[in-house]
Amino acid sequence: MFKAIVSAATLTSALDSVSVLVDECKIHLEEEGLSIRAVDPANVGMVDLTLDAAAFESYEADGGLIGVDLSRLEDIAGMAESGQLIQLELDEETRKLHIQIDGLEYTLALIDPDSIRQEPDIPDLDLPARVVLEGKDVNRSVKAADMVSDHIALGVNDAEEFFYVNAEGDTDDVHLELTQDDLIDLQVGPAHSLFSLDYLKDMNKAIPGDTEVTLDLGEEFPIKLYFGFAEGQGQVTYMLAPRIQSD
Amino acid sequence: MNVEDLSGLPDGAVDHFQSEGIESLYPPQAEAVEAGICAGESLVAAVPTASGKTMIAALSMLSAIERGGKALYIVPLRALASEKKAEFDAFERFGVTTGVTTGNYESTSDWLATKDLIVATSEKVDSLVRNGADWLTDLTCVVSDEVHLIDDRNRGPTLEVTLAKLRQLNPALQVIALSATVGNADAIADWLDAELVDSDWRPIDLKMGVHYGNAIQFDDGGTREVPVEGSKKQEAALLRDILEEGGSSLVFVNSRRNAEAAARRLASTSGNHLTPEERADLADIAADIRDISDTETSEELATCLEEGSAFHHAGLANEHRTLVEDAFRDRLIKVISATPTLAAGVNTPARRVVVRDWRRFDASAGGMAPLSVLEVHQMMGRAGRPGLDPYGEAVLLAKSHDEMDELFERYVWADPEEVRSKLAAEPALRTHVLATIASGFANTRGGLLEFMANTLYASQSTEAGRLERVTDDVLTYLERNDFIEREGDEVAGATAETESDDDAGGFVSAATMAETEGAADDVELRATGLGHTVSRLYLDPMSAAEIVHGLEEADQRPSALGLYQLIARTPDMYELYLRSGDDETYGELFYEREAELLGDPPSEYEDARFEDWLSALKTGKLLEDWADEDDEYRLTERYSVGPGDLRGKVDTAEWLLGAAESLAAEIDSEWTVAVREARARVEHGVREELLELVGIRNVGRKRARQLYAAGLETPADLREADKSVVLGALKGEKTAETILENAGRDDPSMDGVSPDATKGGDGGTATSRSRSGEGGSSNDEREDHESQASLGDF
Repeated sequence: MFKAIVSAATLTSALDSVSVLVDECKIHLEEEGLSIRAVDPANVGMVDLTLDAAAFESYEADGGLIGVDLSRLEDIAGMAESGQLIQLELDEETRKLHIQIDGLEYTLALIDPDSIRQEPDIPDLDLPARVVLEGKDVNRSVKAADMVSDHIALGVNDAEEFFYVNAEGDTDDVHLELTQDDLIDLQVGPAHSLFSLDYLKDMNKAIPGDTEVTLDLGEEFPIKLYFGFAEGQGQVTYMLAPRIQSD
Repeated sequence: MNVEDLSGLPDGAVDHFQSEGIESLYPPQAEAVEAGICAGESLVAAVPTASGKTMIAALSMLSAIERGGKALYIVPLRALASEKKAEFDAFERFGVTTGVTTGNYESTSDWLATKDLIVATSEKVDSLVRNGADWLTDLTCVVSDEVHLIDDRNRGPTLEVTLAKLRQLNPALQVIALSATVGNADAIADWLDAELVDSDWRPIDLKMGVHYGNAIQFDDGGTREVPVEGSKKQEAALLRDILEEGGSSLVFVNSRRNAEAAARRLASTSGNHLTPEERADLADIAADIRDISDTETSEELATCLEEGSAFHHAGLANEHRTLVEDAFRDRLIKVISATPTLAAGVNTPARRVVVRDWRRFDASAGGMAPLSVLEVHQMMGRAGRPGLDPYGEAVLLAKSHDEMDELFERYVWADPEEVRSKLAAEPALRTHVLATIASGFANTRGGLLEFMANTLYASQSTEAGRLERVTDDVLTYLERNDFIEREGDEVAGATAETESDDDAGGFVSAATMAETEGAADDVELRATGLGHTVSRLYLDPMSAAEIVHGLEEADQRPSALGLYQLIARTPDMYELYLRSGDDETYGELFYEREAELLGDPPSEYEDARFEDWLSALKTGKLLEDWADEDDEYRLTERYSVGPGDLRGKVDTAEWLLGAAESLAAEIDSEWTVAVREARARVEHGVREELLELVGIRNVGRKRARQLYAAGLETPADLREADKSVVLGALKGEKTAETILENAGRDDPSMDGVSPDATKGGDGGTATSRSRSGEGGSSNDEREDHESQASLGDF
C-alpha cells in the first residue's frame, strides 16, 4: 500500500538528485518515508537518498518496493507548477503508479525491481577531513573548474588549515582557497583527491545554492558529499570514486 | 503440591529449587508429577508458554539421572541450546553435569558420554544417531522441547524420525514432549505411548483482545480505553498507556526491517518514561552494544536503547540478544519490537503484548499470508510476568470494524491448528529411509515398515498403504543407485528383479508385491559402503546419485566448471534463477562448453531438464568466475545477487565438493584430485597457481595475487625473499610481518625496511591485471598516468 501527496518542488528535487546517476531505480516505500539507493553503471558514483514521511503533505506506506523509469516520472512531475501538489498512489494489482496533478491523471507502468541493477552497499570509509560549506560555494568551484579542465582536485591543507579547489587545464588554471572563516566548518586532516568533473557537475546540479553541504575527504579516496533538502526532511548522500594518479 | 514433597530427585535438588523461590508446583506440573514423570513415565505436556514446562523437564531428567540414567534435552534452535545449558548448569551444585552440542555434523562427540545431561538440536541428534554415538544407548530420558514443530515442513521430519529412532534404540526410554497448546495433543501422546497433560492453566490471567479506534475490546466482553491521539500509531498509544501503570510491552511485527523501524519510532514514547538512573544504566548498556560490533545494526540498536526501546530479530549477534533480553528482564528496556523469533521459547515476558502484524510475506503463497493461530497464540502467551504483573494482556490491532471482527474470529476465539506429520514428502523420506538402514535401525523391508509404523505419520495417516507405497518407491530408488542392496532373495527376488528391470520407474505392481511380499519382507536390506558414506555426509541421496553418476561418466579429467555445474544440479544447492534473456546467454554457453559438463546432457527438447541444466550452468559459472578471481562486486552485479548470497553459494559448493571428494574415493574414481582442487579453488576464490599461497593464514585472494605478481609464488619464496619486495607487494608493515610469521619466516620483523614496488606487485597493477580481460576499452580514454577508480576498490 502506498499513497502520498507531495509538493512538486520536493518530488522534483528528490528525483533529480538520483537521475543524474541512473536512468532506473528502485524506490523503497517504508512506513517512515521513502528511500533510494543507486550506483551508476561504472560503479564510480553512488547516491543514497531518504525522504521522510514528514516531507509529504500526507503519506501512507507499508514497506513495498517499486522500480521506476526516472526520466518518465520526472517528465510527469515536470507538468506541475512548483507550488502544486502531486498525488501518488500505487495500484498493487496492476503494478502501476497513479499520479494526479490538479485534475490531470497519469498512469505510469512500473519496472520489475528485479530487473534493475542491484543496490550498492555503501563503502564504510574513514575519511579524515570534513568541510562544511554553502551550496553556492560548491556551485561556484565546480563551474570555475569546468571552464578549464575535465578534472578537479579537492583537498585540505592541514598545516595552514584551509580547503582548496584546483583545476589544471592545458593552458589555464583555476585555484580557490577557503579558510575557516569562509566555511561553515572545517575539520582538518590529510586530504587530496582528484575527481572527474563529468560526475561532479551532474551531482552539483542537484545541490541547492542555499543549503549546507558537507564534504568528507581523504587522500586518493572517494569523496562523500551530503546535504539536506525539502526543509531538512530529505537527505542526499553522494559518493564519488577518485581518479588515481599512478605516478 | 509442594516442592519438598517430591521424591526421587538427587540430594540438594529440592534445596536448589527452594533457593530459586519455587515452593509449590503449578497445577500442570503437579499433574505431570502425578502422571509419574519422576518414576520414568513418558508424558506429553501441552501447556501454554510460561506455565512451567521447563520445570517438568527438569524434574523428569533429574529423577532419571538419580536412578543412574542419562538425559537428553532436544531444542529446536541453537540459540535456545545455550540458554538451556546456562539454566541446567545450576544443577552442577548437586553433582549433575551438563554438556551442549550443536556444532558440526559428522562427529560422535564422545566426550558427551561423561555428562549426565546433554542439550542438543534435533539435527545434531539425528547426525549423532547416524554416526553411531555409543552413549545414545545409555539414554534413559529424552525431552523434546517445542515438539509441535514436527508440523514444520523442513525440520519436522528430522525431529519425528529422531524421536522414533531413540525410542527404538532404548525401548524403555522415557520421553517427555513439551508442546504449545495444539489441536491434537492427544494424537501425539498416543504416538509416543505417553500420558497427557493438556491444560490451558496459566500462572497469570491472560486477557486477549483487539484494539480498534480508541479502545481495546477483550474476549471476556470487557473494554479498556486507550485513546490514539492525532497521528500517533496504535502501538505507541498502547505503549504509553501500559508504561503509565508501570508495565512493559512487547510488539511483534513481521520483518526485521519493520522491527527496527518500530523500535526507532517507539523510542520517542519510551524515552519520556525514563528516570535519570535508568538513563545512565541504559547508556552503559548502549556502550556495550557498540563495543560488540561497529555495524549499522549495532549503532541503530544502541541509539534506540538509550531511549529504552529495542528491537530483536534473528539478524542480531548473540551478544546483542543477550544484552537486550537481560535489560528487558531488568525492566530498563520498556519495549521490544521483535520478529516472531522471540516468541519461540526465549523467556522475555511483558505485561502487554501487541501483535501488530498478523500477515507476513510468504514466497510459497506468492504474497502476504496470515500467521497460524498457533504462532499468534505463542506470541500472545508472552504476556504477563509471573510474580511481577497482576495480569497479562495480549492485543491485536485492527484498522476497521470488519478487521476487528475478523481478528476475533481468526485468532482470539480460534483453537490452534492440529500438528500433522510431514514425513511422507519424498525428499524427507529418501534421506531418512537410507539413514534408518545405514545406521542399522532396520535391515529388512518388514523391519523398515515396522519402524515407519512407529512414526507420527503412520499413526495419523488415513490413506491405507500410502506410507508402504512411497517407502517401496524409495527403496527401489536407493537400490538402483547402489546405496543399498538386498540379500538372500535369490529365489523370490529373481522375479521381483526382472519385474523391476522391465519397469523403468521401479514401481512394483501390486500383484507382484502380493506374490513376493511374504519373502520380500524378510529379505535383508543393507547399506553399501557408498550408502553409509552418503548417510554420514548428511547428503540428500538424490544429490549423491547425481554426483556419483557425473563422476563415473567422466572419461577425462573434469574441469572446474564441469564440477561446479554438477553440484549445482543437486537438490542440496539452490540454483540461480534464469532471468529473461538468460536462456539465450546460457544456452550459448551450454553449446560452447558442453564437452566439459558431466553426466547425460539433456536435449533441447526436454524442456524442464534443459532449463534445469541451464540454471545449474549459471550457478556453476558464478562459481567459476569466483574461482577465476573476479571481484566480488562485479559478480554480485553480473548475477544480480547480494554479497551474502554469493558467500552462501560458495559455502554450499565447498560442502558439496567436500562430500563429492568422499564419494569419489568411495567409488574409486580417478578424479579425486580434480574434485579436491576445484573445492580448494572455490573455497578461497583463486586460480590454481595461488592455492599454495592462500594456505598461509591472513593471505586471502587479493593479497595472494599481489604476492604472486611480485614473483613470490610459494610459502618458501616468502621465507627467503627480499623483505622490501614483500613490503612493496603488501603495503603495511604490520600485515607484512604477520604474514611472514605465518609463512614460517624466522625473522619477520620489518623494522627499517622500505617497500620496493618495482617488481610490479602493488595493488594497482594487480587489480588492473585481473581485469585486463574486460577493462581494455576503458583504457583508451586514459590520459597521462591517471585512471578512474571504482567505488568497489575502496
